[in-house]
Amino acid sequence: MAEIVTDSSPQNPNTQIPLYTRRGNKIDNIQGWELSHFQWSQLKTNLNRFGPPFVKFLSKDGCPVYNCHGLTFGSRRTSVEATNLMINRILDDDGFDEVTMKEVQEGDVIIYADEDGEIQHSGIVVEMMEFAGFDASIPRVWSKWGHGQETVHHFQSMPYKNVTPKYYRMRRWKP
Amino acid sequence: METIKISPSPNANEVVLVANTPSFIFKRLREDTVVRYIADTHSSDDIAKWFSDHPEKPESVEELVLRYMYLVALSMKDAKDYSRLIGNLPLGSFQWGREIGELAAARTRPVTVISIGPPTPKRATISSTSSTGIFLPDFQSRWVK
Repeated sequence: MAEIVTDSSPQNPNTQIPLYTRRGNKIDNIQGWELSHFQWSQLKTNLNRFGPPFVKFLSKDGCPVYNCHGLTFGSRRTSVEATNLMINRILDDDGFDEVTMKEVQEGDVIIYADEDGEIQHSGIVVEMMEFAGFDASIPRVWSKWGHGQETVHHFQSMPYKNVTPKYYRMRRWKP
Repeated sequence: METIKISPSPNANEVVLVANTPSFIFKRLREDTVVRYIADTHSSDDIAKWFSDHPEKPESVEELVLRYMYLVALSMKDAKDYSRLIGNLPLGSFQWGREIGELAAARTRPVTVISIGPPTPKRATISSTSSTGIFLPDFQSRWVK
């Protein structure tokens, strides 16, 4: 059952749900209900600079209940706490190992860290694109942009600047 | 003097909309021109007064964005002012308020360097810089449709 978070609005209190890694460690999370998805969708931004063929928005509006890690690791149920400690714990506890860019394939998880090494975004690789003149494939990623929309995008076409991707595959069935 | 109403810039809105972490908001809003404008045209006390003139809890996303903007603007002011004023701001009333306040405190914390001991003779040194970043080629220009 969802538990109400105490310091939120009494009208639409934020909640958290029991969520655990494979190893059984608790995943800190919060479901954001305070400000509605309608309010978030009314924000004036410059996100319309993104579009085909590099970015496909999967819905008209976003959803503040779950974040990118909630999509990647939580089946859209909640916003997973986006600290390095939490994300690295999930990766380790769930049996993920890092893979190189050359090894990346569909289903792998992509984690973006900024110039200070702080994890700022995550997603799931859904396609490997072929490029003329390149002896390599380029990932296309399914991710959610914060409180905003889910997108399928070229791995570098997104509003998170100065970030470096790392890739992970669930190889260990038991952590 | 005419008072200019501060509104969230599309950039600030976007930063808050897509943010997954408080550090993302803190770092990216420090680059926002409207936040820079607030820091340049308001005293630290004016910024603190802005918080007391508004309800503690934001009732719209725009109000939430404005709180982040004013908080980050305060972090760009004098470190002593920040330390003096931050404790009175209602940072617990909106998401990531406390976290951004702590990030700002760490960034604005004054550092005092004290030299102890006799001066050492200067020695010629060769310095070099290296990039630890990973180069990511511009694949977009080669996108195959």
